[in-house]
Amino acid sequence: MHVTGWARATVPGQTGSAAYLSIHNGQRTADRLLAVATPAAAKATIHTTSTAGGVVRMRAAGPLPVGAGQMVEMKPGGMHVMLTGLKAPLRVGQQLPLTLRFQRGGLVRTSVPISLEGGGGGHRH
Amino acid sequence: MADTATSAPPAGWRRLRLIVWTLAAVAALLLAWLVLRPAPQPGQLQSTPTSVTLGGPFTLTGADGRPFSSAQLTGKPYAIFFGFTHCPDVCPTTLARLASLRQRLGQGDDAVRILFVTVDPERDTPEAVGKYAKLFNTPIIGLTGSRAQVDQVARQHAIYQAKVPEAEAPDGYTMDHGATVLLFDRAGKFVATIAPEEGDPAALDKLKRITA
Repeated sequence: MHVTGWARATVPGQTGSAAYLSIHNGQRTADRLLAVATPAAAKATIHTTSTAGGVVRMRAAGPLPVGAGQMVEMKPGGMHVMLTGLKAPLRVGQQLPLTLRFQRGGLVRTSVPISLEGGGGGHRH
Repeated sequence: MADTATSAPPAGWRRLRLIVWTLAAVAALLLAWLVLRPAPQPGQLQSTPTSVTLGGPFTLTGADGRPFSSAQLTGKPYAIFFGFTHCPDVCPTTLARLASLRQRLGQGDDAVRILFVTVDPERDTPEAVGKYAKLFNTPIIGLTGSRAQVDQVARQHAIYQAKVPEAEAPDGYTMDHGATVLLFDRAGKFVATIAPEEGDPAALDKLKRITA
C-alpha cells in the first residue's frame, strides 16, 4: 500500500478538519481500508460528500474498497477522512501522522503535509 | 296581499332567495378560483417568486457579536455562501476557492466581499464563525444569528438546510445544505450563482460581471 495526501489546516478553536488520501494498492489482491486513526484527533472517519441539485450531504462511508492494482484518490467535495476532536490546530507546513488499517494489508503508518488547499505534496487533483 | 309580500315574504320565497344567493356565492367562488389559481407551469422554467426576490434586506450577527445589517453591504459587490464550521470538506473548499478566485480577479480584497453564513447557529457562535473566517488568510465576513434569523436569510437566498443525525459526526449530527454561492452587485441586486461543480473560468467571469 502506498499512501500520500494532505490534510486541511485549521485555526485555533476549530476542532474538525479533513484529510485527503491517495491510496495505491500495488498488491495482486483487492483490499479494504477499514479504519484510520491519528494522535492529532479524537476520531478519524471515512466520509463522503455528495452534491445533488446544489445541496451537499456528508455521510459516513465505511470500509473503502481498493481493488488490486488500483488507486483510490480522495478529493475535496468527495471522499475524505473526517477528523473530529482535534487536540491542537493543524498548522500549514506541519505533518499529520496517520495510521491506516487495511483488511488484508494490516496497519500502514504514514504522515501527510498540512496545507490550505492541497498541492503541497504535489497531489493537487 | 302585495303589502305583506314586500314587508314579510312568505317562507317559500325566503328559501328561494337563500338558494339563489347561495348559488351566486358558489359561482363567484368558482370564478375567483378559475381566475386566481396558479397557472400550470411547464417544468421549472417559470421563475418562482423566491427567485425573483433573491437576497433582500437581512440582519444577522457578526463575529464581534454585534448586529450585521445587509445595509452595510451597499456599494460593494458580494458573494454569499452558507455552511457551518463543523463542515470539514465542502465549506472550506468553497471558501478557499472564493478566496482564490478573488485573488485571480486582481482587484484587491475590497473588490468583492465574501460572506459566510452558518446554517448551524446552535453551535456556531459569533466567535466560532469569526475564527473560521480567518482560516483563509483573506477577509471573509463570518455571520451567525438566531435560528429564526438564519432560517429567514437562507429562505431569502433559496438555500436548503436540514439537520441530519449522523453517528460519526461531532454532537451526533451534520447539516445538509445548499452549496451554491450567490453573487450580488454593488446595488445589492442578485446577478448570478456559482455552483459547486462549475469550472473556475465560468465562475471568474461571473465575478467580473458583478465587479464591472
